[in-house]
Amino acid sequence: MNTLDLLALNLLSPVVLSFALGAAAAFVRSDLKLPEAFYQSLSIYLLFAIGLKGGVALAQTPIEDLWLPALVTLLLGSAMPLWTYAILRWLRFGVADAAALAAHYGSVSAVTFVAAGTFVSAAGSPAEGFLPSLVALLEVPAIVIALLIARSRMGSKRPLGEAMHEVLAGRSVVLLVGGVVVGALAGPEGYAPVQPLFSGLFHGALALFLLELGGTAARRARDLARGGLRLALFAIAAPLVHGALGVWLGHVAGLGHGGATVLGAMSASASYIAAPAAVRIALPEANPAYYLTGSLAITFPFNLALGIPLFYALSEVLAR
Amino acid sequence: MSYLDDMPRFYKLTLVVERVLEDRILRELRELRAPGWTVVEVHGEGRSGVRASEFEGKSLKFESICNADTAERILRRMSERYLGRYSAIAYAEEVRVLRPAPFSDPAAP
Repeated sequence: MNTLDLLALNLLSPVVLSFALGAAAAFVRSDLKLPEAFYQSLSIYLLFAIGLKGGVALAQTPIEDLWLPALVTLLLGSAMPLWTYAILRWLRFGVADAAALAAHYGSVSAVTFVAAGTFVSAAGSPAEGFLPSLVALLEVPAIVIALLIARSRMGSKRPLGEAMHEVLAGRSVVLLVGGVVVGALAGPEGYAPVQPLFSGLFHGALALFLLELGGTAARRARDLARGGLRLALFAIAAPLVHGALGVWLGHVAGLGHGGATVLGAMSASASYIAAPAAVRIALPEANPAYYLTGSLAITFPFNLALGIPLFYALSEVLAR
Repeated sequence: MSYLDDMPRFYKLTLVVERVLEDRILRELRELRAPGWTVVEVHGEGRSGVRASEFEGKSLKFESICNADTAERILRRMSERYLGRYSAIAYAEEVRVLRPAPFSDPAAP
């Protein structure tokens, strides 16, 4: 498949189209809006389903296939916030805003992960099943490191413990890690009876979730002007660089064509469930107009529409 | 006899805070021995613009009726730790309460 076919395959998927519809609805000021409780339920369902599926696959993965991708993921999660912070400071962002953005861009978006997984399956190179465990690994370190940077630069009177609690006990980590553990313990036979709910309905639920996310992103986009050109620049450049690095390291770690693409998309993505809550607690000075607008209104749609097929094409080149 | 004239005066504190502060405000109220409180979910808009973020859920409004000392302690704590840093507002009103027993317990810090 050439790059144009890949783009078309991606842009015409229900997931991407639902996101576009949600954004268009917000743009014309439609009254379309999922009830908050339903939206929260969808996010719980999606995170738990991702974890469960990953756990089942993890139980069947020999440890020697696993340790290198896990190591590479931890490395990415620890290094990305460091240089992201340095670059943002160079772009003249304040300490709090730079650290907040570093936390978001070093961490991972589960929805981007799922979209990438769906895409590589549709393109004919499905990713390794254990990758959801890597999402759980990638989610936490960057947030912790970025908050530590902020703490060392801004004095120690910060409620770091509370923020740690928010990260580690937040629903995102509990559902992902918990799902992986439950899936691994239950194994394929145990998973079979719950599969119709967690696998069969998964993509439909994802489309609904993206409908709402599209609306939220479009409403966020009204803050774009406040973020300025440097934010837009960063929010496009960061996923390109992190994504390419992730794809390359994925190949180095022995992942296949699809798996390396997905690791690239994971690295390219910016968190918007776990990181915002932790940052809001520990770094209230940081401006949400930067970190939410960057991760949700620019980076997420960029990855969803262009990044994922691009990383797939890059992964194909590296696989040769 | 007039009920209104006989009702003792207390303060009603109102704290409107963003959702992420829920646990901390509850902890402060317990620590500072507020005699009780009511919490409702609210939404609105203010200068901070943080409410525009739909990720944190609705804001919370805490209402607590207490004596002057307790009100003073809570307001001081709010001022020291939350106001200005987070999106949070605090105000107090004088109220008269029909059955003062639940609010007039001595609450030494």
